[in-house]
This record gives sequence, structure tokens and C-alpha cells, in this order.
Amino acid sequence: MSATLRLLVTTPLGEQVVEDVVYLRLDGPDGYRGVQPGHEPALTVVRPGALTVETVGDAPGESFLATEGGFAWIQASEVRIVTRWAARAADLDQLLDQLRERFHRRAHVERDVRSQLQRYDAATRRALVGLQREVTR
Amino acid sequence: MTESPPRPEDAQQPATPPPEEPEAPEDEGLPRSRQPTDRVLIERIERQKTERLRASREPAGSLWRTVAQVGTLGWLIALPPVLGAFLGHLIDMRLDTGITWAIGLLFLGLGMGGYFFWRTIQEAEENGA
Repeated sequence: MSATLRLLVTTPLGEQVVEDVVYLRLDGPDGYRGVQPGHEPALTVVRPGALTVETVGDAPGESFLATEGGFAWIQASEVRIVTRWAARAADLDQLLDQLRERFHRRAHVERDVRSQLQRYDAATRRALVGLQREVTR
Repeated sequence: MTESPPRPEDAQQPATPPPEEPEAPEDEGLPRSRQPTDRVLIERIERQKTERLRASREPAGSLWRTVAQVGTLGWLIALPPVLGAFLGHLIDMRLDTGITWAIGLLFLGLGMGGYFFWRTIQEAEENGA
């Protein structure tokens, strides 16, 4: 049995985190679940939040992995998290900062897109009204 | 197949602006469509942070420390009288004095036990336990 778990985090952008961990705590539908090497195979839902990851080696210690929720496929020497989005940080404050910054950025993008859509909508309406006038003339 | 001209209601449909969504409070400046997921995520992580803070404030193994303290108190009270009575009994046997020494040392032990108990409680209070 391997002394570490291979942690793979799969998002639509590809495999974002691949590393060896000694412990992983994830938030499942029935509460927190600790996963260590040699865990029985399991498939569980991961709720939105932060996973706690313990590593050894070059950068030993605890870190956090935020996900928007997803699934975890646990095997004896590997854990694969499948999620739509994931972010990594050394502590929860950093993680919260990252999240807020990302969402603010997306708020701007969404506002731009919304105003663009409104412009398109108005142009379509004008075109339709013009067309209707032509047809009824 | 000829394309039918757009019916007036079709043309009118987009002309009426969609009912404006009630202005949701823009929590932390999050985009409206993202707010449910984002709010849940941020709230959960904040809760995790609070839980961790609370856990770190609580001294590790405080339950066992309490149990150990209670155990120590028990021994402090029980041991002196027992030792006193035993010692007294030995002296009585040697000197053939009935139960005089045993009773005497038993009460002395009780007194000492009480004193030790009181002192331990005082120390614990001083340490803010």
C-alpha cells in the first residue's frame, strides 16, 4: 500500500491539481469524511466548500482546496475530484480573498455582457418593427 | 416554403421589456446569476474558518485533562486516609495499642486529603482553569 494518495482535481479546463497527499478531508452529504491512503473504494458527492489537504515532502503542511461541489472518486491510492471549478490556497483567508476577487471580476464581465445583450435586443426590436412596417405597407 | 411574415404578437413580444428582476442585494458585489452558488461557497468557507478558529482556541485534549484532574483530585482525597489507616494499623500491631494509631492517622489523613483538595482547587482557580 502506498503511503500517499494521488490527488487529481478534474475541471472542464483539465486536470488542475495533481499531487501526493497523506490526508484529505472532504465535506460530503453526510458530513466530513477523512480520506487516508488505503481507503476503501468509494464514490461520494462533495458539497461546495473547502477541502483540507495534508501534504508531506517539499512543502509539508495543510492547505485548502475550494470547489463548487462535485464528486469524489476515492480509491486506495488515488482520489479524483470532479468539479466545475477549483482553487487552491495555503489558508482559508487567502482562499476567501481569491474567491471574492474572482467573483468581482466576473461581476464586471457579466455586467458588460448584459449591456451588450441589451443593445442587441434593442437593435433586434428596431429591425423587427421596421420589417413589420414594410410588410404592412 | 415561404417564410411567413412575423406576426404582430411576435414582433411585439420582444418590444415589451422583460419584467425587471427585483433588485437583489448585490452581496459582496457578486453577479446576480452567480450569487446562489457563490454565496453558498463563501458562506461555507467562512463557517469552516470559524469552526477551525473555535477548535484551535479549545485546548487540545481538554476532556482528558479534565478527567485527569478529576482523577488526581480523587487520589488526593482517598490516598492520605487509606495510607494513614494502614500505617496506623501497622504501628498498632507493633505496639499492641488497639486501633488508636489507626484511627488517629486515618483522621490525620482525612485532614490532609481535605487540605490537598482545597489547595488543588485554589491552584486551578488561580490558573483560570
